[in-house]
Amino acid sequence: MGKYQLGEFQEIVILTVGVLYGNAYGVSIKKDIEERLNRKVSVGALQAALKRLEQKGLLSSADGESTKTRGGRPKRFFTITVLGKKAIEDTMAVRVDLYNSIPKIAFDLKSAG
Amino acid sequence: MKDSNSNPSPPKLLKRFLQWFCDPNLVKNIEGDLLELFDENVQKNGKWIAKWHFVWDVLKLFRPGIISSKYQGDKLNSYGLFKHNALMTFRRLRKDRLYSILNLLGLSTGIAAFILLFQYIQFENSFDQFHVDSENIYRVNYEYLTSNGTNGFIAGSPPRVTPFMKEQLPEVKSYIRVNGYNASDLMLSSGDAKYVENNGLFVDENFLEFFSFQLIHGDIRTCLTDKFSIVVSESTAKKYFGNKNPIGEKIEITGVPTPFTVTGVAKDVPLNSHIQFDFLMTYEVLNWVWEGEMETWYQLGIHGFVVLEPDVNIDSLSEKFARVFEQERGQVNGDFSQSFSFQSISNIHFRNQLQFELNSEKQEEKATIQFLLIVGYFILIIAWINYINLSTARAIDRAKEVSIRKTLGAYRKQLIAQFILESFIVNLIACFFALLIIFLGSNYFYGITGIELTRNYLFNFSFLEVSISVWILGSIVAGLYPAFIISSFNPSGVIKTGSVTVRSNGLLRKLLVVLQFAASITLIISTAILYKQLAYMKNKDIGFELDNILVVKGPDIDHGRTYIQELSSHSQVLSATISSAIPGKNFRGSIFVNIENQATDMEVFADWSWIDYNYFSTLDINILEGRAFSPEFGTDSLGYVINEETAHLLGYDTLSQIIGKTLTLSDGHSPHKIIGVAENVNHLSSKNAVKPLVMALSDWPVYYVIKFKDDHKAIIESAETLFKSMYPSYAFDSFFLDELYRRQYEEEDRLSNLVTIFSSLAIFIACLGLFGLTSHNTLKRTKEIGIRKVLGASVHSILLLLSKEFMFLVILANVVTWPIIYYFMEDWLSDFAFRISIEAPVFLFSGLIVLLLAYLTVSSITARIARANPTSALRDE
Repeated sequence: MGKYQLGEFQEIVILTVGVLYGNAYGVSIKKDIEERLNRKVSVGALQAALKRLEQKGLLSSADGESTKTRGGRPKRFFTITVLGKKAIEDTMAVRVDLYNSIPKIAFDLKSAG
Repeated sequence: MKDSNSNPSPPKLLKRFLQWFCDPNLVKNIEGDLLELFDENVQKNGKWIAKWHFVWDVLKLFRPGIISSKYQGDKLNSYGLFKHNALMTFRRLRKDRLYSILNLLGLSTGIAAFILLFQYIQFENSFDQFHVDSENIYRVNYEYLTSNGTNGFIAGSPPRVTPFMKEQLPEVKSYIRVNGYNASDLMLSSGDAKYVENNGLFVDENFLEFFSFQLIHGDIRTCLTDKFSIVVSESTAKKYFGNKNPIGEKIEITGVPTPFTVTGVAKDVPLNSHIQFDFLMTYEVLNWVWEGEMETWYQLGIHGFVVLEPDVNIDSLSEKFARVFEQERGQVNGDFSQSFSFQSISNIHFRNQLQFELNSEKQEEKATIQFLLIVGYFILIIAWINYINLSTARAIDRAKEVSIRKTLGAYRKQLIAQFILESFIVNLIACFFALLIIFLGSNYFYGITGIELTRNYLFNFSFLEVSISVWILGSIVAGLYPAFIISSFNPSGVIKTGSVTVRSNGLLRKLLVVLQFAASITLIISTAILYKQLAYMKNKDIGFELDNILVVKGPDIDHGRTYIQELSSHSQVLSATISSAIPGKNFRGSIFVNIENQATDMEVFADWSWIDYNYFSTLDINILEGRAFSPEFGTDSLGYVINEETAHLLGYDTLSQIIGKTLTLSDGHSPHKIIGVAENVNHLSSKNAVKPLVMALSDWPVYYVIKFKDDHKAIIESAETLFKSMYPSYAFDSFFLDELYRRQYEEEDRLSNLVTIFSSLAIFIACLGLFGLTSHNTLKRTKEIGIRKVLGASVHSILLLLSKEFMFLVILANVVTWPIIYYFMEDWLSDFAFRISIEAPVFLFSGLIVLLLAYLTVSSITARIARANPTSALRDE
C-alpha cells in the first residue's frame, strides 16, 4: 500500500467519486455505492469518510449552485486530486500484484487437505 | 407541483440538533443531502418512514469528524499546549534554581527513603512464601503447663507427633520433620577439605518434595532415601569439591564410622527462608546416632511441619487432635497439661515467645517492621509537604504569569492541568534521582544496617510498582493544592497593581510545617529511646565475664582434660574449663527436674549442661550457697549444681535449705544431691528472662572455655598449635565469647542504625522545607526590613521578629507529639524483660536539638537580610 493508507470504505468512496465524475456529491455517492455494492451506507459514515479523504488531500470539494430543492442548500461536489489519482493507482497496483503472486495451488480447492 | 398541504418536512427537533452539533463547514451540505433523501423517501415510502430514516441519519451523524471542534477537545491543539507546558516547567525549574534544587532534593531523598524501607519491609514479609502451597503449610507447636506455673511454649514437637497426626487426621496431607539443633558443630571432611559446619539439617526423606528448595543435581524423590545420603548446597559443594560434580563423592563426619555419599546438590537457600541449610542428612541417620531417641514421644528440638487441606480451621483441628492424642497416649501425670497448635509458616519469621526456634537470630519483631513502615510514610509525607509549601509560597511569584495566561484566554481547568503536569514532571525527575540514590547507596545501606538486601531483592517487580505508585500519587497529592491556589488569581487585579492578594492561607502552610516537625520529632525521640534501651541491655551486668574469653570447639573425644592442663601452662592463660554450653548459644537439652519425694506438680522444666571444674571461676559466676564442683571431692560426679531460678521454682526461697536435697531428673539421668546454687546469669541476651538451669560434672569436651590476659593473637595461636598437635585429625574452630554474645543484639543494632539514619533524613528534609519557606518569606519582606532598620531597629530585633513565627511552630510541634510518643514507647518497652524507664530529659533534649536546628536554618537566611544595607533594599523598586 505504500504511503497511502486507505481504509476499505475510503477506497470504495474515492473510487465511486471517480466513477461519478462531475456529479459526485453526498446523496449520489451514497446511492451509487448502495446499488453497485449492495450494502447499506449511512450518511454519517460517508460524510466522515469524505472529510477524511479531503484532509488527506486525496479529494477536493466545492459547492455547487444552490437550488430550490434541498431547501436552498447547495450540493458539495467532490473531485479526485492528483494525489488521489496516485493513491488509487498505487492501491490498485498492490492489489493486482498480490493477486498475481498467489500460487495456482492455493485455489486448487479440490485437492486441498 | 407544489402542494402546500401535503409538503412534509423532516422533524424540526432533530434538524435543530444537527445544526447545533455539526461542524459549521459541513452543516449546509449535510442538511441539503438529508433533505434530498427525505424528499425521495417520502415519494417512495411515505412520510413516516422518511421521518424515521431522517432521525436515524441524524443520530448516526453524531460522531467525531462531524461534530464541531468547539465541543471536541481538538486533539491537535491539545498536543501543542502540552508541549508548551512541559517546556514552561523546565524553564521555570532552571530559573528558580534554588527552589527547584530544594524541592528536588527533598523529594528525591524522601522518595528514596520510602522505597528503600518499603522494599525492606516487603522482603521481611515475604519469608517462606516461596514454597508451593505455603498458605497450607503449618508448623506444629507444643505448649505445656506444669502445676507450679512453669510453662513452656516450644517451636517444635516430639518426633512421633506429626506422623501420628498424619495417621489420625484426614485433614493432614503430609508431614515433615526437621532437626537443626544436633547438626551444628559437626566436622565434615572429604579428602583434604576439613571444616566445622554449623548449618546442617536432619530431615525426613520427603523434605525436597514438601518444601520448594531447588535441586540442581540429583533426584528429588530418592536423594534422601538411603540412610547415609547427604545433599549439599551449591556453595558447600564448591567448598569441598571445587567445580566438579560431587554426586557420588564421599564425605566423612567425625563421630560416624560410615561415610556419607553425596546424592544431590541444592541451590543455595534464598535469604527469605527461615529454614536455612548448607547440607541435608536423613532423619533416619539422626535417629540411628541417638539410638532411637529421635522417634519418641518426649524428645524436643524437632520441628514438625504439616500440610493441611485448604480452609481448615486450625483451632478446631488442634482441639480435635487433643482428643485423639489423649486417647492414644492417655492422661499424662497429674496436673501437667499440654497441647499442640498449628502456626502458619508465613508467621514463623516474626519473633514470638517460642523456645528452640530454628533460626532465632534472624527473626524480626513484627512491631519493628510496622514501625519502619510508619517511618517510611512519615518521611514521604514530610517530603510532599515540602513540595506543597514551597509551591504555594512561590505562587505569588507566578501571579503575573498566571494573569497573562488568563487574559489570553486560558480556562481555569487548563491552568490546573498545567500545574499538575508540572507536578508530574518534577516528581518524575525526583523519582529518577531517588532511583539513582538507591542504586548507588544499596551497598552502603547493607554496610550500615547489616540488612542483607541484595540487588535481587531490591530491584524486583514490586520495586517498579512502588516507584510508579509513589510518582503518580505524589504528583496528584502534592500538586493538587498548589495548582488550585495558583490558578485562582484574579488577573485584572494583578496586572494593575503588580501585587497579589493571595487567598492562599498562611495558616495551612503553618499547619503543614508543624506536621513536618511533629513527624521529625517523633522519629528523633523514638530513636533516642531506642538507643538508650539498647545500651542498657548491652551493658547490663549479665552476671558473668565476657571479655577476653576464647572458646575452642572440642574434638569428638570423651575426655578432654589433657588439653586444658597443657594449655594452662601458657603464660596468657588465666583459667580454663570445659562446658557443653556457652553463653550466647542455646542449651542443648532440657529436662524435667524435681526434688525427691516432692509432689509431681512441682516439676521444673530446666535447661541442662555439663561443665568441668573451674567453670564458675573462669566465667566469674558467683556461687551463692554450697560450692562448685571441685577435684577435692571425689564424689562430685554424683552431684548437681543448680541456679537460683531453679531453686526458686522448686519452692526453696531460702537457698541454704536446698543444699543436700536429692534432685530427680527425667530422661534417665540418675538422681543426685544438690551441692551448690549458682547466681542467675543471662545465658542468652538480657532480652530474655533467666531460665532454670541444672549442671553436672563432666570432662566431655564440647567446648573449651579459656580465659586469657589480653593478647588475642597470642592466645589463638597457642590454642591452635596445641590443638593441631594433639588432635591432628580434627578441624580447629574458635571464637571470642564477647563477639558471640553481642551478636544477639544484631537485630537491635540494625534497628537503631536504620532509625538513626532515617530520622536524620527526616529532619534534614524538614529543615530543607523550612529553609525554602523562610528564604521566600524573608525576601518578600526585604523592603519592610529596610524601613525598620532605617527607623532604628537593631539587627538582633529583626532576627527575632523574623524567626519568632517559625520557632513557635516548632515548639508547638514538640508539645503536641510528646504525649503520643510517650504512650507508644511505653508500650514497646513493656515487652522487654529488662528495660529502662522513660524520663523527661530525653524529650527536652531532643526538642532542644530540633529547635536549634530549625533556628540555625532560619537564621542563616534572616541574618544575611537583616544585616544588609537598607538603602539597597529601599532603592530597588
